[in-house]
Amino acid sequence: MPSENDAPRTGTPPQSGELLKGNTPTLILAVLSDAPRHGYGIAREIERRSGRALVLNEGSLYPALRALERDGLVTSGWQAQTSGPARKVYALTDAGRAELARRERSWRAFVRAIEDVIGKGNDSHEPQPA
Amino acid sequence: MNHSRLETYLDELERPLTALGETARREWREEARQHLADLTAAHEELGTDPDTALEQALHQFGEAAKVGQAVRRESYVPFSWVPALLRAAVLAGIVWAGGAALVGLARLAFAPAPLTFLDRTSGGTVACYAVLGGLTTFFAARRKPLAWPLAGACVASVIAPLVAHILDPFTGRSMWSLEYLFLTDILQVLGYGLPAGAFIWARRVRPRRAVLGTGLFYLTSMLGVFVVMVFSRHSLNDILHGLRVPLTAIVFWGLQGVLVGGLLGVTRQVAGSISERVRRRFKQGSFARFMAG
Repeated sequence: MPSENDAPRTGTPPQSGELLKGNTPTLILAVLSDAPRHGYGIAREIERRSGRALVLNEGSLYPALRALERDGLVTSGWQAQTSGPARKVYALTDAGRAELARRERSWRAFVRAIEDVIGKGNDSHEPQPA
Repeated sequence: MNHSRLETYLDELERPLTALGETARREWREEARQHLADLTAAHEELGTDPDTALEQALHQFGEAAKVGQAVRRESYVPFSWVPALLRAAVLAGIVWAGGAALVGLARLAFAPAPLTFLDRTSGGTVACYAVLGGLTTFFAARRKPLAWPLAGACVASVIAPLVAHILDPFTGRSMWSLEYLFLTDILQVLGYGLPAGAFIWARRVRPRRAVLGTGLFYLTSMLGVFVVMVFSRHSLNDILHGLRVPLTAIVFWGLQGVLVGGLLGVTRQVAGSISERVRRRFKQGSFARFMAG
């Protein structure tokens, strides 16, 4: 029986909405890096890995997937199921892996820079030792 | 689960994707349906009733039209000349030739006296059809390239006779009687309007089926008109002689439809391709500047 925590949430914390929107392709690439998944699985995996801090607007996933597919970073195919209709499954291409590595480096550099700025800002407000 | 609610949502989702082709649309619809089914099931497992679960899933998926438009933007397919030209040309050809043939036959059957459909003074009407049909098709087809060539022809068929009537004193044609104008306008609305309606309806059904329906409509209508002619005052000689008119109309209007429709289809695709490239370049430029700055 699923718990309340398993419920698919219908919103994202407002402060992370814009950040999430801009980084959706990176999140998709990251989630696909260990296994091919279908759209619903991608959305749930992003939620799970982020401890439910990142909740996608489910519809926004598909334009991002289309763009990644068009750019050759992911590939898709219909996979037959043992029960139920076939599902469209997305997988990372070699170009997608290279792009993910590049994005990871870029993101880490960005986070470091932000942390440096925030850290220095906090330092300046701390009381100076006498 | 409320299936009609889901299907309505999926229709709305699919609507902006007309230009992508039937297979791509069907696949996208199926993919979205499965996602929504999973999402609905997840809500149901937590004790939500099926209808509420579906509503929550739809809300979570987002506003259908916006999602569809975003998918269309990202599914942009580079311009391909041949399919664009063929698709627009075939559609326009079917409409214009079929409608013209029907109108030509009907005029022969119902007009006070046998009329030649394309006499030397009908240049004004022909020009009006081409210009008005072309303009309407061009502007409407920017959004719905498959459905609207017919609607363009329909609008043209209603407006053109009126404009031509106003221009009569300048083109040297004698004024038509109101009764005759009324009759031909009704025939023209039937000839073009019904198939156009079928195509607009085709946004809900498969376009291929609507093309078939349009063809059948023309065939049965022409058969009906032909039967009327046989049982009316026209002699067999008159009918055989009169068949020259719709045949001429089919060739003339069909070629005109193919030409205008093809040109409009290509123009629309070229315009879409250019605007998409400009948009992408602008986006990339802004992004690059942002990163560098």
